Amino acid sequence: MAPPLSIKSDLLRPLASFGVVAQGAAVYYRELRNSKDPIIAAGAWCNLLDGRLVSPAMADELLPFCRFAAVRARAFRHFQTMYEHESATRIANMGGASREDAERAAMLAELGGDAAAAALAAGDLFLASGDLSHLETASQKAEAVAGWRGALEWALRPVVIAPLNPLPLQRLYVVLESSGQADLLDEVASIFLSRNLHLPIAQIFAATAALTRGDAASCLAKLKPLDDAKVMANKALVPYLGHIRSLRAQAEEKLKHYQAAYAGYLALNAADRAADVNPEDFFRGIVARGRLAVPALPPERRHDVVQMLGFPRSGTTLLENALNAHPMIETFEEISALNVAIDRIERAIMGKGNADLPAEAYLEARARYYSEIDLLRRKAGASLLIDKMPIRSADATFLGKLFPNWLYIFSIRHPYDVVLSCFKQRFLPNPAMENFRSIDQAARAYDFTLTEWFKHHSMDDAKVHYVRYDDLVTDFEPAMRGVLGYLELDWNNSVLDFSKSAENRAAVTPSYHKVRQGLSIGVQTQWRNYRFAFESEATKPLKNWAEFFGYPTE
Amino acid sequence: MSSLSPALAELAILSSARLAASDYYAPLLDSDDDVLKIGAWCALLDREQVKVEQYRRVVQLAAYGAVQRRAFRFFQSNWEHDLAAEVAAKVTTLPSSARALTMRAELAFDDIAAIEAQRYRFLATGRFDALVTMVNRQEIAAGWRPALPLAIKALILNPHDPIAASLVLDLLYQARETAMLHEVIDLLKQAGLHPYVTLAYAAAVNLAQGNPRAAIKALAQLDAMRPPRPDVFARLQPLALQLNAEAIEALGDYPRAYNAYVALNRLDHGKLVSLDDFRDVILAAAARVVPALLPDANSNHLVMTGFPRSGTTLLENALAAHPRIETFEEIPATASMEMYLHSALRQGASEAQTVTTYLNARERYYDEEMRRHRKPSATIFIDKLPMRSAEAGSMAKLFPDKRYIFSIRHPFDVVLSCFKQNFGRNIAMEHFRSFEGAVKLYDFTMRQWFGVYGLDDPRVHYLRYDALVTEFETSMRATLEFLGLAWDNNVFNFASAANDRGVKTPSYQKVRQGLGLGVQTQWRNYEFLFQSDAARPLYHWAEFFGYPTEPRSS
Repeated sequence: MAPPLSIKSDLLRPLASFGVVAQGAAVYYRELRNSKDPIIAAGAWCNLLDGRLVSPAMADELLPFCRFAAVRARAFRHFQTMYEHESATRIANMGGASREDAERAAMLAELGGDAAAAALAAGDLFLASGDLSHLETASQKAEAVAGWRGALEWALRPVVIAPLNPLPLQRLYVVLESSGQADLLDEVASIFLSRNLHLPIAQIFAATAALTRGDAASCLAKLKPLDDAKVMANKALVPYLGHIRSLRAQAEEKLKHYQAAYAGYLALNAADRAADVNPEDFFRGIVARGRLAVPALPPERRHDVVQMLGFPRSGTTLLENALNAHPMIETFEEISALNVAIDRIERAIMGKGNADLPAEAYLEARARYYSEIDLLRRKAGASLLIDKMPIRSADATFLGKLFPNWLYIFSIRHPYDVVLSCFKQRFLPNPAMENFRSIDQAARAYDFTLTEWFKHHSMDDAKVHYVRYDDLVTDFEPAMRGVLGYLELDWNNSVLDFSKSAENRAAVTPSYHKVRQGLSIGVQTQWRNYRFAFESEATKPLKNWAEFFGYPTE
Repeated sequence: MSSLSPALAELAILSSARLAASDYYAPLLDSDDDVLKIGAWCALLDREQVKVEQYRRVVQLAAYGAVQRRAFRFFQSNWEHDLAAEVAAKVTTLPSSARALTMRAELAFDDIAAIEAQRYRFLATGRFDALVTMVNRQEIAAGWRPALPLAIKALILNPHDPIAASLVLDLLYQARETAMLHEVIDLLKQAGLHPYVTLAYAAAVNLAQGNPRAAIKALAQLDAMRPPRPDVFARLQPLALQLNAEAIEALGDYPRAYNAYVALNRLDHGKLVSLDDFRDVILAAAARVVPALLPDANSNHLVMTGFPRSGTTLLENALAAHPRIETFEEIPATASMEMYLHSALRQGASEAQTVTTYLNARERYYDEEMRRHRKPSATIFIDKLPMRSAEAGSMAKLFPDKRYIFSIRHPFDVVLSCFKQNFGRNIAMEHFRSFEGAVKLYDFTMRQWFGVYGLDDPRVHYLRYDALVTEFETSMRATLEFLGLAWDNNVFNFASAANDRGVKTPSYQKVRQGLGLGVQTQWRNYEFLFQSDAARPLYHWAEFFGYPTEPRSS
């Protein structure tokens, strides 16, 4: 018999159920049904019923759980199969929340932007159906309100309910990896190892913990048995292919094996490439919008929205988190407000059959932008709204026509570091980000974006406040005072605590991990180590931009 | 296109199945039929083909859950939050839980309520499987005629789904409505739809029209064709193999036909069932020591048994046509009893307790029957299960006074017919996957029966299939006399009555053709099978019943 399981971290307490996992489903679920967590208990009953592990003596205990539709449907089938029609009749006549109720609650939560309610609704959907994927959704929603700890609580539930199923581990991994929880990653790995479960996945958890602690050699050693062929041959491991390649590349970098790291990042990008997303659509969209014949529009009445632009990986997340800590500022990260305005213009063009739209159509689109952003407002007391979307700088022509009075905060960082960082980073696929699959492609997108921006704005444009990432990191307070001064807001000390607040926010972009570490990590620059990757013709324009911003290129 | 039979007229819309979805579904959007209307709107929402001018209509229809959840997602993804909010606020006018209605209908054996519950489920979810269940339930409840319009709706709403096409085609094939089957095949061909599915059923038409060579050719083409989906292949493969075997048989090439039936029986039915399990279960139940029980008051409850493919379905249909008789076909009455005994019989219980347990078990048997009782004029109740004869040992102990009707047919024809038939899978029918297994089960079953009852037992009325077919009225009068009932002319109309009943066993096609078919005997064509050692036990039974066993040549 396996030795007793001791759980060190309170956060992983639910995994104590793994203590008896080796004794088979009947013992495991009969114990789990006593869980104080109703979701886990209901999940246990679903499994007992699915596995025909309910004895006649358990019937009375089962009935109260039939208030959950997932248990109710299974219990009905169970009693019918046993020809216990009286019990089946009691169940059929029982009330209790239905799936429809849970779906409506999920809709209302989404409309109200209430992530906490959305997480609960997703939990109710699980209770109504027994479908574990709802618990993953709940974890994602919970992250938006309660950060990684809230996400973890939900991510553990499906792992406990289906201990042999590798699928729920993916979410658990993402939560612990993106929040850099080395100890928890290690502890989960050791729990699995002690129970002889999910061994290759436990290796990945342990390798991630090692790298998070800075032990690159140990990370690579743990990943050694997991070569690509082995990963691809195992359905449970395929979802980790990108993570494994990313870990390898990062570990090689840490060991200063830059050629190997570069090859690793190329492999990572190859694994992540989205076949159905065309990177050229990014350029086409920008050009098409830039060509729109927008009539002269009256000035905007709203002056409470400021744009935060630049280029991805230029320090915008750091700046945005710092600004969001100010009580008078509410920031919006990568929201779709401008897409809504663009969609309305496209609809009008399609409806009319040509692009010759009257001013009203553009004014309506502009109004939709503001109504969308107002819909997302949550912070009482905030008088200034900041819409952060770094890549939008490429739309400078279009933005100048539709919103001629907009003010901007624009982040600047060494172009080589920006492009290198974009190439190394794992983004969610979209046409713009799909350009970051190689250094050359990313350099082209950078050059295109900055060219578009500086067609309309100079370095001394009064409508733009430029912030250098290097200054922000090394001289934080003066840099922030400069930004707040530009925004005509007073200094507030909570701005200094931004990394703590970032802990409790969901990781919307890949930059969060760094931001959560605060300013202590210093200026991140790596390009000199990868100089060999910047020797192509395609990267030449980056040198010009570096010189333009006054960065060294030697 | 030539005009369609009235029953198929609605399928004319399939000629526009190749148009854009918005054009194809347009005529259905205002249909008076809820299923068609809601299904069409769901199809447009799923394809995001709803036009701006249709938005208000979508909001109105959001009281239907199927539209509500799709419309909410559609409006949200088009940033129409106000409309999404209106949709989310709609309160459904449907009964709150289709699932609870389904449960109650099942408990009440109320097919009409079960179909209605599935209709609500479709309107609440838009799920295709709800339509499939409706078709199947309707067929079971009242035969193919009322099921056909439902299958047609499923196909109209899913014109490109081969499973939907096979629903319609299969109903017509099972009903042997060859002319209509031909019409639908032609219609689908002209519309350029479902070449794979139509080819399979074209083979069925060829065979029905007496052209086995054309059927074999069509099946060879089907074999060379790539199936559109694995589930379509899985659905059509048994049909294709069955048709192939029947076509070869029709050509008179019996050794090849035998091999074709072997191929049909080899189809993967999932996990193999041990053939010994059935014997062990039966013998264990027969060996129980049952104390003396009170006489059974239910002398008007009889059992109809024999062996599968012995004419029991014909006899049961004829008896069910009598106003005083209610028959119950293949119900789990003894299974319920055995399930109860399994958990309730205790070692060391007092005799009084054991007697009570057996009396309760007896009650469970009758309870399963009477839960299904629907015919107010009936005074005689008949539990028909051909394989119940194997349970003679245990039945005689629990129901010592029970009376039986027992069908006899030439054992060679019985076993051959069982082997050739594609039965639903269960522990007994598993034997019919080989000729040897079928012989073994027949011998075992007859030994069980005649170990308890003789041919002159007053509790048993033996009826020969041959006599039933050739001297129907005389046989039926004798049977009714055994039941203590007077003759009723309705008994003659059993074939048309069978048309309005669902296909519960594979024997229905023959029964629907009435007595015109004559005595079905095939064994002499397969005499090579009966010359094998495996067939030896059957000679004893053929001689016991007085049937000839000499081959054709002698």
